[in-house]
Amino acid sequence: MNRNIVILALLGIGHLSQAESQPSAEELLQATDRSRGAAISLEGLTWTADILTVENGEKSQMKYLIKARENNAIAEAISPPRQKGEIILFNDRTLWFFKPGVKKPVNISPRQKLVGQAANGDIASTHYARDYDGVVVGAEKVGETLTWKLELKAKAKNVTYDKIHYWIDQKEKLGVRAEFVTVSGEVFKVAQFKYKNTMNVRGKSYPFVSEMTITDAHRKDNFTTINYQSPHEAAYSPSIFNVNNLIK
Amino acid sequence: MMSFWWIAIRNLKRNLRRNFATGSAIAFGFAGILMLNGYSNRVTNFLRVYTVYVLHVGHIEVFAKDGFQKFPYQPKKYSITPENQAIIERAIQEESQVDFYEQQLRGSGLIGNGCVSLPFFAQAIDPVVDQKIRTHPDVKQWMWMIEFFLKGRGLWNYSEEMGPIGVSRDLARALGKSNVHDDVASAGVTIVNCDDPDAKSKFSLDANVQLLAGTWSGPLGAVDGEVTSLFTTGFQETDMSSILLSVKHLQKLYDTPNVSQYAIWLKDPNRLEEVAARLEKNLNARGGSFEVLKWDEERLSPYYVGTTQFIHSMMGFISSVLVLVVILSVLNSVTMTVLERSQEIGMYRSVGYRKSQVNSLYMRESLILSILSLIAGGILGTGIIAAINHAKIIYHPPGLVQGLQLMLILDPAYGFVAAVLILVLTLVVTHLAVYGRLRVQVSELLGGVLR
Repeated sequence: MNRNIVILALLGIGHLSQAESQPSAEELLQATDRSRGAAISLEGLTWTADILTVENGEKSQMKYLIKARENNAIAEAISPPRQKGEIILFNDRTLWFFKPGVKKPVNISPRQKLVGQAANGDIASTHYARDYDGVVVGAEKVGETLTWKLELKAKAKNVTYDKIHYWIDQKEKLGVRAEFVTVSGEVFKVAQFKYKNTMNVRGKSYPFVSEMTITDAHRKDNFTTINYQSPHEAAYSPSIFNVNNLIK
Repeated sequence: MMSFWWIAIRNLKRNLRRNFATGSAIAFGFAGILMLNGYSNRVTNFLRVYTVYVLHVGHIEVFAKDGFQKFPYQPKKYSITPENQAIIERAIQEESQVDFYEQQLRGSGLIGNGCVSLPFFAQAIDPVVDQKIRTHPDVKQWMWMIEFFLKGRGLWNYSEEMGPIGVSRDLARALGKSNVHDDVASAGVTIVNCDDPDAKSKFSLDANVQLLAGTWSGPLGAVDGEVTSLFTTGFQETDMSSILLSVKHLQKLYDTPNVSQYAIWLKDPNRLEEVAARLEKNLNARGGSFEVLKWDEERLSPYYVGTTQFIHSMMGFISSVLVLVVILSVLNSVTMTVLERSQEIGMYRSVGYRKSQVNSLYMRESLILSILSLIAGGILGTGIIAAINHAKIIYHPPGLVQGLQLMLILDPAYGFVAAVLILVLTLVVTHLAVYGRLRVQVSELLGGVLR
């Protein structure tokens, strides 16, 4: 009996020490967001996103120049020529689409698909800490990487996904895998991330996402790969993120 | 022989009260059947014309193979390419029974006013065909009372470059587009600052909207549109999301030269089966892979088929009950008459009248009574129909937002057939009742023991 009590006490102490070393979900999300374009510079950041989509055997490719500052971002299509000049503006959680020649911008849903498996909300900076309530549900291995598994639940209806299962590298504090889940709990898309880029902000270096691959959970041959290139610090006026300035 | 008719008339006068009751049953029953037919005839023809013309279903629709079912999910794969459009148009032009036809395209996306965006479901049609449909003789005959547009004018009144769009009532309200192009044409486009507290009140200053959707090649696409009319689909579910525009306009949004289907209207709709079979054969012979659907197939016109099946079964049941009541009234009356007049029958037989002659006498009585009653029922029925139509009663069938005037339109051929049917049944019942009595011995009839 006494021996059992000792074992239980030891287990309790062990559990406590693990809880103390486990970072909070908020802390983990802020760290991963920083490596996926969320505000680490007050003046602004920029990079290009090359999006390759394979859907039902057909390939399509688009390239965007992304400019981000705090909670705003603007994605301007630079290729193919047919789409050149099209703009997706992210004002906090509100998204606008503007096409040259059209008289007014259109308010769109972050959930609407841009191309293939990527939703509009996937292409610019990521603000999971702002948009989702997170809970660390355990520690798991993704490949050889030891990760924290988080369950994220949307704080508002106008965010990209309702629920996300998110695996974060315990050592590097980088998101390595995400499963996007419907309201009914079904996984419909799976994303994997690579971090071969580096972002230098005021002399400090951060790892930055280099590739995000989003695959249809039901059809593995339908996927979208976003390649992030040339990330660097830049200075942007807040006025370029004003929707009224899109109409020239 | 003439004296038989006079005897029949005299006999009818002898029992006026009972004959009046029997005649009333026939007259009211017939009037009821005429009214039911008036309702059924009006509703089914209204729905037929609404489906074939106003909804642009046509008499025949041609899709790419499996396109009817799969186009909404894989539009690029199950749409009709320009090459297949050429095949279909050659086959249509060779078919002498085709009155006119159009290309159609369906799809969805977002419609915005510069600040707010809402989902839409678009039906793209040929504006010239739309104009033809609104003035078609069938539409004028059965839907003359319907205002097609709550506000504004049809697409055919405006240039394609302007991008005219018809917007359903509740969708226009949600977008704040209470004015159409004709109301605010001179004002130009108003850019509204969405952060302004009074932004909502400024949406109606212009009729400009934007349509946004994923193009069939992948990326997002957007086009401008000008609200030129407001309409109602008649259904609350679709009044919040429907728009009507030209095929070219929607093709520009989706960045495709393809269409989803062809709608074909025939000169003689009675030859539907024959023309559809011939068209399908011709299309397949040209090497294409197509699906030819007739307008009255349940999968193409589920509302029409479901509603008319319900109406016909209900009308059939009520008419059967009415006819049964009429026949039972006649049977009861004739049986009573024959019983009461057993001695009279015996007397006719004893003075040398043959069974067939006595039977003929009763048949004449029944024939005169039935014809007079049917005439009275016809006058009564048409009178009530005229009164109901004159009263302009509005009722609200399930789903119809505007309501519909209760209007009965009698089909004369149906009325004639119903009258002949009642007449024949009345004579058969009379014959059966009299024939049974004629088989009794004359002595028994004269003795009155059977009364």
